[in-house]
Formats: sequence, structure tokens, C-alpha cells
Amino acid sequence: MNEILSFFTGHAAEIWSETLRHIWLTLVSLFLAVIVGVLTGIFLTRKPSLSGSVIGIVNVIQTIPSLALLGFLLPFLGIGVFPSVIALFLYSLLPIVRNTFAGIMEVPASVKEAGLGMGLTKQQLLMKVELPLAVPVIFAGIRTATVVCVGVATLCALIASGGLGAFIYRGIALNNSAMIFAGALPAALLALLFDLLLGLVQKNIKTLLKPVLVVSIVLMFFLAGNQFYQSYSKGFTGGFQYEFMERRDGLSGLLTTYGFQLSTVELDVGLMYQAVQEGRVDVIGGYSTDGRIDAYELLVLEDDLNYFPPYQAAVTINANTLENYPYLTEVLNQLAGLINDEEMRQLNYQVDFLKQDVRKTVVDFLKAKGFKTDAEKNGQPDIAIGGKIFTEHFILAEMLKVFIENNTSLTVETKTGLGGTKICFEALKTDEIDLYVEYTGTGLEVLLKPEEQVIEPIIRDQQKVYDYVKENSEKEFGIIWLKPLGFNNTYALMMRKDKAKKLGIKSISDLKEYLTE
Amino acid sequence: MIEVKNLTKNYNGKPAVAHVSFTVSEGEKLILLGTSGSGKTTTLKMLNRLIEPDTGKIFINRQNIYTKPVEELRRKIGYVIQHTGLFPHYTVAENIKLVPELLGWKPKAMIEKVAELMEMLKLPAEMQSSYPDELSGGQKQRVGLARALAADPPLILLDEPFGALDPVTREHLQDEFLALEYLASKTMVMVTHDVAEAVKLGDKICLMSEGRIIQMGKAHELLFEPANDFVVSFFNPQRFLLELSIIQLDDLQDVFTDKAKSTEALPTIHADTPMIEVLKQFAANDTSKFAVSDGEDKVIYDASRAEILEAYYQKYK
Repeated sequence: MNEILSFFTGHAAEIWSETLRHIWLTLVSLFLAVIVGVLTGIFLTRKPSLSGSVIGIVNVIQTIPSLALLGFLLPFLGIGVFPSVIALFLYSLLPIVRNTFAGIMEVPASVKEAGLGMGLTKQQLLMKVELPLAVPVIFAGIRTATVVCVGVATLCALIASGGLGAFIYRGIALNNSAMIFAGALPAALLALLFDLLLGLVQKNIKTLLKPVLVVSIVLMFFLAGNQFYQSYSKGFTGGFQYEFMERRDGLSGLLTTYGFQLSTVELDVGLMYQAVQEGRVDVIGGYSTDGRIDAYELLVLEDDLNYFPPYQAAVTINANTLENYPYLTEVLNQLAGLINDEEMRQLNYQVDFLKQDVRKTVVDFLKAKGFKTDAEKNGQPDIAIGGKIFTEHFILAEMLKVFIENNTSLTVETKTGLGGTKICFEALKTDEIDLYVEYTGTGLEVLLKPEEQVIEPIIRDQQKVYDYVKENSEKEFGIIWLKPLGFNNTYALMMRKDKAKKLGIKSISDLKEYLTE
Repeated sequence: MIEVKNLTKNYNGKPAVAHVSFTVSEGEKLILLGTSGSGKTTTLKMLNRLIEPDTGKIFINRQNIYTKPVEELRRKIGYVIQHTGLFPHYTVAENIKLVPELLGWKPKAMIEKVAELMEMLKLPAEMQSSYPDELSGGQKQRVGLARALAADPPLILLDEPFGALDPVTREHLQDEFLALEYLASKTMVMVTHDVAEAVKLGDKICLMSEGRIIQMGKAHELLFEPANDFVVSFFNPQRFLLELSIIQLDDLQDVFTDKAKSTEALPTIHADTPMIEVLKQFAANDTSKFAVSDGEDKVIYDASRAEILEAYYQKYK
């Protein structure tokens, strides 16, 4: 509770400005949706034969998952405020169209007939009879749309349009509940407030409709100026995950180390790769062996100042296992330096995007490297290989299994899909598994967690990090690090290949030069 | 006043109204009578163009109604419907002044008109600010009538105006309706399926079936000179009562020509009184005989209740 309070007081200005932004996003989208929705609803009452198909279409839009809709709009509208408004607008449409249509259709036929019979024109009938009588139903629709809108607007933080969602997603990424709360609470209050306000307008529609309309339009324009400015600056832009922007060893350190400025937007990790490929952002931060780098034809910029900590992959093995099978060290060290970044990326790409069978991918790779791969063993396993729950680990575990079974008499079982670093490491320590692939950076930052003074002098040197991790893991946990496999799965900046080539950018220093010119 | 020529309207290839022609003169009350599906309501709604005919012509005051804007036409025709169609979000007063407002009357004139109509139709003045939902069925129908009369239209169309009311309220309203002097000069076309109502309120009845006019004329003609079996069977269920309410004492005069007049002093009754009223009068006046006097207060015959009924049977059965 105290944590939450102190977060609120410490970030009051930021929370306030994100709340305003949230209000603005909701207001604009809702305003558009009310205009288009009510007009569409009215139109449908004049052409009821179309109502089924039109409401059907609007209904389908509503069922598209929000993030999928944002991804779908990205190629056409890019990232930032504009696609967010469009997405919110689309989500708000259904209840408004449907309720306007239903509200007007529900006006008793005798009342409409009497109105026409008295000599009202169709226009007058609409304004004097149909709309006033449909107001409660239409307003119910608008209120539903508002709540939906405030909720979905949190997602728009994922495509760089800010709003209260920014706190929520950053909070989730950093496992900071006070931060999540700072986004969720104002969002919930906003939904309630809007609903209350609309309820009030509905009850006093004659007196309140106009002033509220005027105030919201003024508010919209008033907020619009700084909203657009903040959201999406033109020019060279970087798109990054919240985690990367917030971390100590993330973006801010990078910019200080290299000494340049970069305008940035916050993006969802899934949308980030798409955004850079579509040219909506120019550079993104990702992991250097991610299969998407090949899939989206990206270039990893060389970290020529070695800013990013090394995350060299190496087999970690329990000392007890080595006692039983001492030859394993020698066998597995044959794999040292076998896979470079490029190759690991290819493997990830083949499994992730080409949907190739993991075993086939691994066997093809080992064959090409000149290793034996034809042994296939069944029966009681002698040792177990672990792996975290992502593609790279499925591939590596399978590769180790094939390699060991072909080069020793041992039978191997794989236990991949273990939740995370902690779980894998615990399993290794307790002999649940005998070995798995870990990264040196993780070993340092997550497992050993030495003092800052220890990290600082070694962090830019991958050999020193490896040596430190190897020595201390054995001492502290009885875990042996074998020789690195070759690739380094670290943070990296990446750009579209063709763009990088055009601008002559190969490394982060090149980027700095280009940007400071 | 109204001239309808050869109206035809088809729905999905089936004729709803076929070759309907009639005229209504100034101040006349025409009843369109028939079962549901007979085309009577369709015919009525073609008069204010809520429904457009496929073929045929309509003239009101010698003017073709299709030559001017439809709203202009409708604002000059009063329109009363069964479920009143009052605007639920308008007060009684707002409902009544709807058409005057459309016609751009001055506020003061509208206020006066509303008050005048409410008084005429026996609606309490404080009801002006009530909403239709707060009114009884009969009151709503009175407001509906007031709304139709507000702009003083020379022609009024009524679509089963008393159809949704209970029998007691209905009869009460019908009596008032008949008694309103204001309405006497108005031309009216009324749709109903209620034969008694047709006979009671209409100057002329137009009996329709399956979109066609079967017979048109005064109630007397339809009852006693039916064009075919359909007309006979349509009136049969209530024939006795209807005949009693149509036949007047002077209709029976020829039966009594040879009968000697009584010398006693008798209460007199006017010769244009319908039989049903006479039978009521016998009970009310505690007399065995009435002297029947004509327009110049000359006694044309006298008769007891039994004699009158006997004369009726003799002449009409």
C-alpha cells in the first residue's frame, strides 16, 4: 500500500499527463464513433434490408482480439495515435450502431404513423419523434462503447500512443505492481466517471447535451496539440519494449555510452519487428539470435563499444553428473564455438517461421558440420537435458541429445519447457536435470548477482565474464560451465537491411554518426 | 369534397384494394366498413397518402392530391388512429398543438386553441402538462381527437378511433362524438369493423370485402335493399337491434293509415324517433300509448308498444 502511494506521489505529473492522454484518446474515438455509429444506425432504419449484413460486419470487428486488430492496422496506418484512434473507433462502433438501429426500430409504429399522418416530414419525424424516443437505448449503447473504449485504450500503449496502458505494461514487464496499479486505477475511475457523466447527460438531455458536447470538443482540441507532439515525432525513431527502456542496462545507458540522442516510442515486442519492417520506426531493440531478424530481413548493428553485456551460451552441467560420466566434458567441448550468431538465428528462423521439425533441423545442422547423427536410442534414460520455454532452448536441448547419443553410449531424455532461469537452475542443482544451456550474462546478473563493483570492471569483456561465472558457479553451486557454444544472445539494435545499407550503417557508432551529422 | 376514382393497390401481386371509387360531399360522414383484410384501412390511408395507390386518382376540393407536397396535404387533414399514436415524450398540450406548430401559428393562438379543445372534449385543464402514459384509454383517445382537430381541418380521417376502448367508454365517446356540434359540419371518413358503430355514426356506409366495394349507401339501404347475400350475412348477427335503431316511427305510418286515432290525451313523440328509442320511452314514461306527431305537430297516428312491434313485423318481415 505504501509502495503504491509513494509511486503515485512520485509520478503524479506523469500519471496526470497519461490520464489526459487516455481521456483524449477515448474522447476522440468515441466522438467519431458516435457520429458515424448514430448516422449508420439511422441509415439502417431507412434500409432495414441492409441491417443484417452491416451489423454483422461491425460485430465481426468487435470479435477481433484487440492486439490482432492493432497488428492488422499497422501496415496501413502505422503506429502511434492515429491507428489507436481508428482501432478504438472500430471497437466502439458496434454498440452504438446496434442500439441506434434497435432504439429507432422500437419506436411504436402507431406513433410514427401518427407523426407522418399529422404532416411531419421524415426529417421532422426523426428529430422530433424517433431520436428523442430512442435516446435511452442509444445512450445505453454509447455508455457500453465508452467502457469498452477506456479499457481497450490501455492496449494502445503497445503501439506507441501512450495512455494509462503505458504504466500497466511497463509494470508487468518490470514486475512492479505499484506501477500496474498506477495505470489500472485511473483507468477504472475514468470508465466510471465517463459512465456517470453520460448517465447525467441522458437524464437531462435537453439542458446538458449541448454544453457537454461543446466542452468535450474544446477539450479534444485543447489536448490534441500536445498529444500529437508527444506521441510520435517524425524523423529517425527507435521503437523499444518497456523493459528495454526501463532497465539499468537498457536504452539510457546505451545512449550515454555512445553519446547520442534518439527519439523513441514504446512498442509491444510482437509489433516491434513488424513496425520496423513496415518502416514505421527506424531502429528497434531486440535479441541478437531472434529468428524474426531473418524473417523480417533485419540487420543487427554491431555493438562496437561492447555496451551490451555478453550473453554467451554455454552448457552448464552438474558436477555429480561429470563424476559419473567424466568423458562428457571432452565430448561436449567438441561443440565449442560451433554455432555463430548467424547460424543460431537461422535455426530459430527455421523452427519458428518455417515451422520445421526441431529434430530434423538439428540433424541437418549437425550433418552439415560433419557430425554423426544416425543413432537413435530408446529405453531407460541415463541423463536428462533441460531447457527454458523458448524456441532456442528447444533446439539446443535436442541438439545436445542427438550429439550425446551419437558420440557416447548414453541414452538421453529432454525436459524442455521449464518456466525460466530460476526453475532451470534449481532443477540442475537438485539433479532433476543433468545439464542445460545457460547464458553468461544471466549467470552473472541473475544467478550469482555479485556487487556492482565486481560487475563494472568485467562487464564489457566477454572472456572476463565467462571466467568469473565459470569460477564462481563451481565454487558456489557445484555447477560446471563448459566452453561457450559460440553465439551471443544479447540485446542488440537492429534496422531494416536495405535501409541500413542505404544509410551506410553497420554498427551503433555508424548510427551515432548518422544521427549527429 | 372528396372524389376517389378507381383506386387499386397490390401487395406482392395480391390486390389489397381493387377499383374503388366513391365520393363524399361536404359535411358528410362516410364509414368504410368491413372485416380485417377488406382493404378499408388501406383505402383510408391512401386519402392522406400514407399509402400510395398503384393506379387511380383522388381529388379533394377538386384538387388532385398528388400535385402538392404530401406534408402540406396531411396538415390540412385531421387524422385519428386506434392506438392514438400520441407522442409519449410530449405533454398533452404539446401533442395537441403539434400541427398548429408545424403550420407556424403564434404561441398565443396555440394556447387558446389547446384550452378550447380540451374544454370541448371534456378534458380537465390541469391535464395539459400530463404525459400520455398517465391518461386512461378514453382520455388518450380524446387527446388524439383534439390533436386531429387542432388546426381546424375541414376533413377528418378516423381509423377505428374507438376500437381499443371498452364497450362502456366506447359508447359514451360515440354519443359525445355525435353530440358535438363542432363536428357536424366536418367531412369525415371513418374506418370500422363495428356494424353498430357504422350505423350509429355514418351518413353513408361503404361495405368492403377483399378490396372491393360490395355496396355503398345509407344504412337503411344496406339493411333493407342488400345488394347480395354477403351484405345480408354481414348484418345478420345484429340485425334486429340495427333495424330497431334505423326504423323511425314515420316509416311505420302506412301500417296505421286505417286505424282510428284515440281520443284520450296521450304523451306525444316525434315521428323521426327510431324504434329503439321509442321502446325506451315507453318504459321511462309509464304510458301504454304514444301519439306520434310529425314536423308540424300534427298527430299522424297513435300506438301502443305491442302495436308498434306488430307493425314492424308486418312491414319488414
